[in-house]
Amino acid sequence: MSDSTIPDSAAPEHTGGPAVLLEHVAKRFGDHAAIDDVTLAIPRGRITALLGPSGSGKSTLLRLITGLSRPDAGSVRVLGEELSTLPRGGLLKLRRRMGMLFQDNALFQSLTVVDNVAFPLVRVARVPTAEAKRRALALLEQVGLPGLGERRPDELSGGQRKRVALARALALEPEVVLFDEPTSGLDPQTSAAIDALLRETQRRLGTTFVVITHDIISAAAIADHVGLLVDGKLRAFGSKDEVWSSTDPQVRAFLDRRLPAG
Amino acid sequence: MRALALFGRPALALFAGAGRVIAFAPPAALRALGSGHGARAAVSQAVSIVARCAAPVVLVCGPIGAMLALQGLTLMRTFGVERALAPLCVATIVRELAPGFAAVVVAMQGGAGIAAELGAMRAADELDALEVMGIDPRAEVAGPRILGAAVAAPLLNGLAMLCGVVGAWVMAVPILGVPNTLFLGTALDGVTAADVWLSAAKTVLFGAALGAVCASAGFFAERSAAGVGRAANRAVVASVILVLVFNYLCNTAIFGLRGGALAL
Amino acid sequence: MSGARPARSRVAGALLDAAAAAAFWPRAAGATLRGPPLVDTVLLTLRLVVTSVPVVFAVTFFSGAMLTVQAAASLAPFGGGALAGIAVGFGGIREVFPLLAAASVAARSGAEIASQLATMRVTKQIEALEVMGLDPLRLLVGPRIVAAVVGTPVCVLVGCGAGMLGAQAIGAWQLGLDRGAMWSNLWSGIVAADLVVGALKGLVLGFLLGAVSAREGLVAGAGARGVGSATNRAVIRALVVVSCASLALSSAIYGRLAG
Ligand SMILES: Nc1ncnc2c1ncn2[C@@H]1O[C@H](COP(=O)(O)OP(=O)(O)OP(=O)(O)O)[C@@H](O)[C@H]1O
Ligand SMILES: [Mg+2]
Repeated sequence: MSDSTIPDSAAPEHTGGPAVLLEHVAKRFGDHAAIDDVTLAIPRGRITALLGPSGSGKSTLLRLITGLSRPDAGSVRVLGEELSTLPRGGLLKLRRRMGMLFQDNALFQSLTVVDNVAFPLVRVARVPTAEAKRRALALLEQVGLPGLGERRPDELSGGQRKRVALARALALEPEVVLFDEPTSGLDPQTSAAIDALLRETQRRLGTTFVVITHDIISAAAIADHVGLLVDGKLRAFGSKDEVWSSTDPQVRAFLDRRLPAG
Repeated sequence: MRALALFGRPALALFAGAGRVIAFAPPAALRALGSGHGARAAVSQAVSIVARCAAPVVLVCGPIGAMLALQGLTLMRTFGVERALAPLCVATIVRELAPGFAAVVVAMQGGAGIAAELGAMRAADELDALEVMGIDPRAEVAGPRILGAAVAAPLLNGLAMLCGVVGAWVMAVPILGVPNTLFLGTALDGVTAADVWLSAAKTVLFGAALGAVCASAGFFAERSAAGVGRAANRAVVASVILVLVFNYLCNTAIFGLRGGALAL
Repeated sequence: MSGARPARSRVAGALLDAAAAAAFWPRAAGATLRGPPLVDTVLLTLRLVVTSVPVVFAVTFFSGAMLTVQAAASLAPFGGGALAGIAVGFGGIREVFPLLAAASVAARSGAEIASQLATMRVTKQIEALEVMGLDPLRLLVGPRIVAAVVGTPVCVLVGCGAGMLGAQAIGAWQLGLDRGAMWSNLWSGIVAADLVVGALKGLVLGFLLGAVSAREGLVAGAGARGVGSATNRAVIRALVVVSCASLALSSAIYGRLAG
């Protein structure tokens, strides 16, 4: 790969290369460029936060990484596999190595909490039901939800639902986990608790986390690397300190409005 | 030119919609059938459709059988062929009204339910969540529902026949005073076992077709509350029309282009 | 799952819900009589007629065709073609076409009423009206009921015409019956009063399907799921109410004649 397009700080730290590699990716809706020539290498084993104002294309970028939508130009590589040349079966297989927490959780309303978490174990990993349930309960305990397994998703609070969705995203022990605004719509205290849970879980598992957010406080709390997306363009990418001390006026405009001086 | 735009656009939408259903539904159903889990899910879908549709089938087909007897008898008495009442009622119910209205009830209750459920799953990203887990939502969610509708429809057709005939009997014998022995003695004169089997075969087809239409309406719903409502609405209308067009085509195929025994 | 609940309490629940649904009908009628907003009412009525008529036409045309093929086959031993035309015209105009027309209006426009009101409910637009001191029943339900009451009889008459056309088309082109004889057989059992009765039935069925649909929309549960299941319930309940009411009206009107 051409190092000139990738910031030094994002150079692969493990031998396997970046977890996610985007090169000159573009996605248009009509004549609106939602993603415009984005080149980005997300390092393995770290938490990378992608920041950006509303409508800057963050969710669109995540859908491109999961293969839920296809880019109009450029290439998307996840865990070394080029998505555009992958047949549908191969794509489904690759996704079993990825986990995702959706902006609105996307818990299965027809299933109980524990069945939601056990679902990928039973249906994808073909773990026997009893064993899957046992593991699901253990996962629920890890995310701080003991004893709520028999409830339905709509009987939980917003923060509890996030935790269930996190447990489900982690159930298959994925190599990359993608989070779309894990703390949006939560109060500051619950947000902080979810952030701490993400940080702790990532440290424990050593998995690659990609966290989409517009919350700078949250990004500051959890991220190792930070990217900033504005109007579909990647304005900055690097280690947290590099981006935080950037002198680019557009980056400063986004950061300073949200991070009060001091 | 204006007329072209007026009819052209809906016609184009119709073809695009039909193309999407044809591209979507058969592979979904086949893939579900191919996996043990999909087949089991199809059975539980069929059970749930039957459970949800049984009461409406009774409530709709009973009155329709009774109406048929009421109007049939008015007509028959003017022509003095009262003995034709029971055979005509039973034949019409078995061949047409039961499969037609069973399918309409399955479309309105089961089919709209399928579209509403899949649409809600689309709006809440549940279908995308399946994709990201590496599970094909077509085979996992849509396929079993299409198969379930195809299995449930003939069972409900059986129930509809029973209710229709009972409704006709109630109107004819206790209410309008047709002799019981005449009604029961001639009831089966108009139908053969083949009629029942053909009727069942028709409803399998209707069930599969409306399951396919409703599942794709829900699967491709817009991601909003209003979009889910519109998907359920569109699914019902399309499947009711589809059922009636199919019913006519089936009759023509079964009775022949010239209406069977009619020699004129 | 809900199957865990004992069957008896499910039946009791269903009956209670049906009673609550029926209790809405007088309120809907009251809302309609309080003077719904004129412009909305006219637009919604036009919309109902314009969107439902094609559905009604398709459904009744093909039912007319289907009934003719079937009647010709099963009435062959009793004199065939002539009797088939009479039977289809008679049974069609009195029962089948009005019922199917009303069912089609329920499927097309009843479901739309339910899904619109349900969307307003789950996006809190109805609460917003109430907070402003406005009456959602008068503003939203009234015009829709008027639209259904005015539009359904029109659809019933369209349905009767389309059903006859379907029967005639199939009789003449496919079964090869004499065109003039077929058309006069179709109408021979009918008197003008039957069409008036059909239109009157349309009024009643229109009110019922409008009220059933509006009620299901107003009590929708939360979220997109709530909108979907409200639409679903509206359609099936409207179908059940419309077929039972159709039988009741027919027995009341025609029952005496048959006896
Ligand atoms: N399916 C679509 N069709 C048309 N335009 C779309 C579609 N999806 C996204 N867009 C547009 O693309 C742009 C980026 O949308 P995206 O959802 O990625 O933003 P976002 O950064 O996730 O915003 P938010 O923080 O509000 O979630 C927006 O202008 C949006 O209107
Ligand atoms: Mg977003």
